[in-house]
Amino acid sequence: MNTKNFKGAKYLCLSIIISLALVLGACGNSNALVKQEGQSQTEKTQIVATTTMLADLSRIIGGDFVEVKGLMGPGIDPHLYQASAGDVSALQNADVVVYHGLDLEGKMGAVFDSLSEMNKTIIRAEDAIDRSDLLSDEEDVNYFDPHIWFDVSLWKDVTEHFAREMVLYDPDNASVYALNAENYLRELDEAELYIKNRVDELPEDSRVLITAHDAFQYFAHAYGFEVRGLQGISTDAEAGTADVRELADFIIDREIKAIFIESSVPHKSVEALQAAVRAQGFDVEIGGELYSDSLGDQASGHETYIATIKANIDTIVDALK
Amino acid sequence: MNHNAKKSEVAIEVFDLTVAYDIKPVLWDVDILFRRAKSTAIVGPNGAGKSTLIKAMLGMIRPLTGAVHFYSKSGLLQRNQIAYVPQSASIDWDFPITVLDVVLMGRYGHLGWIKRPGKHDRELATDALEKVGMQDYKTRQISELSGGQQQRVFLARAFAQEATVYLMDEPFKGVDASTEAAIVDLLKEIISSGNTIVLVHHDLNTVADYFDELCLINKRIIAHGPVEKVFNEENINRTYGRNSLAKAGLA
Repeated sequence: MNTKNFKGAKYLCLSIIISLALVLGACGNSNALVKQEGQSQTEKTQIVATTTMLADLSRIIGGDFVEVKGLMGPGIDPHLYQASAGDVSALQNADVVVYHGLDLEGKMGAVFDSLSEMNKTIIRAEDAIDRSDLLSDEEDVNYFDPHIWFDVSLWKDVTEHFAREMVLYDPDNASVYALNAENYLRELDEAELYIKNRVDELPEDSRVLITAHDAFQYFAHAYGFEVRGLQGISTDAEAGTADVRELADFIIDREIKAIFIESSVPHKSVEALQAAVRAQGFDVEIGGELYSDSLGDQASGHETYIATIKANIDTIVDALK
Repeated sequence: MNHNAKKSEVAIEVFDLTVAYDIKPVLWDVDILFRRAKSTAIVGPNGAGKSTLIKAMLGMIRPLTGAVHFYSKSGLLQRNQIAYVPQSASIDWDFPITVLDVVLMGRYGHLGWIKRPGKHDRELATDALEKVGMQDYKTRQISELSGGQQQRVFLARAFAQEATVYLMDEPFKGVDASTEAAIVDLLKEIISSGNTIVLVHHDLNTVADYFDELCLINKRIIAHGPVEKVFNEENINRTYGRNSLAKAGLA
């Protein structure tokens, strides 16, 4: 709140200084003056968000009152993403920084540390979630699975948290953020219902999801699936041959119809799994590509969170039916 | 069913509306006209598709078939001319926002791009709070209010929207007697200024007192018309099942 007022004062000072410069020096650089005034009139909150999911949420809740820059594009793996020099300066210049946390942006820890030292307004998705709703890694209980967006009810928590933080940052526009949040939460309710209805089309023993990395635990937990991934939760370890063999046996044993590739993970390990299954004389389809750690691109038509999670459930149910 | 309404008297026209979640039909082949400047109660048993009808009318649920048209005197209605009061808030109202800000949410459809609500909007919002007896709570946080008080604030918000059509999903559910009376007064005021209300209702005891028209529904439209014509034992039994009137203590 205070930073906002302070910024207003700063703009005012700048305008005065530039006006003085014009009058005194008559340098005639009128463009600079126009630009400064234009900025202070419309003064949108500049948000920089790390993932595609958070950039989408920032645009929806902020509406016309914010300008959002997403650092990671569609299909980018946030676990491995390294901030460029340009990203760091974008983050430093932002009014509000939005990041996921839970070590999803695994290579950006130092950048976030330096931002918090700057007293920047930071909104973290991690802070929206009750600890008891987090799922931990089987091998390391101190490490939580970051893929919370696959459970729509947790994404609703993130939505409310985000809107609440925006209201605190910019109380003058409280009604806008609240209205946008309320409408969006209603859309999320409908999306959740859509997923549950699609899942109901599958017999219970067909609700098995096999993918390259173990990103779908929250999905499984929320919608009653059994999940198996070739890699652990993070994509920074490659699958070994023993993992492939074990999973191939599981697929044949359970007569699973389809396995899935992911948009932000290389396809070769899943293709190796399919080959291992076929070598034993059982056929398993590649059921399609799921969005895991990013939303779709514009060409796919799945560039929003809601379109992405609906596309995922359609791909899963259509292939396993 | 459509009791001969003239085109100019129609506020909402629903044609051939069928909604299914997956393969389970929720609403079947609904054709209905809602008349201008009337209040219509939609009643029916649980799972009859009452809320679904409202949501499908608002475009929040995509129907399998059918269409919904909203009219003003001069033609098709703009989106911001339709106010919706949901059954329960989707948002958790421990939100850090004042009562006045909540009511101002109703004004945003009237504002241009990136425009802040002005003096006129604040006056309208304050008037709306007075209508529901909440003017003294303007600067309070919405989270500090009781459920009934919050419901009044949400109705004030819908009222401040200055809509032509009001769609409400059980606004009387769980409210105290004085809030109920405040809501009834507000509904009367909306109707007397020529606007239209369609409202999901659960209390058959108050239907005759509160509403002009009644629509009985159980996946299909069972009966629809002026309350005095359609509110009878036969229609209620056809909607809720045999002897339901006696069960409801109304016989």
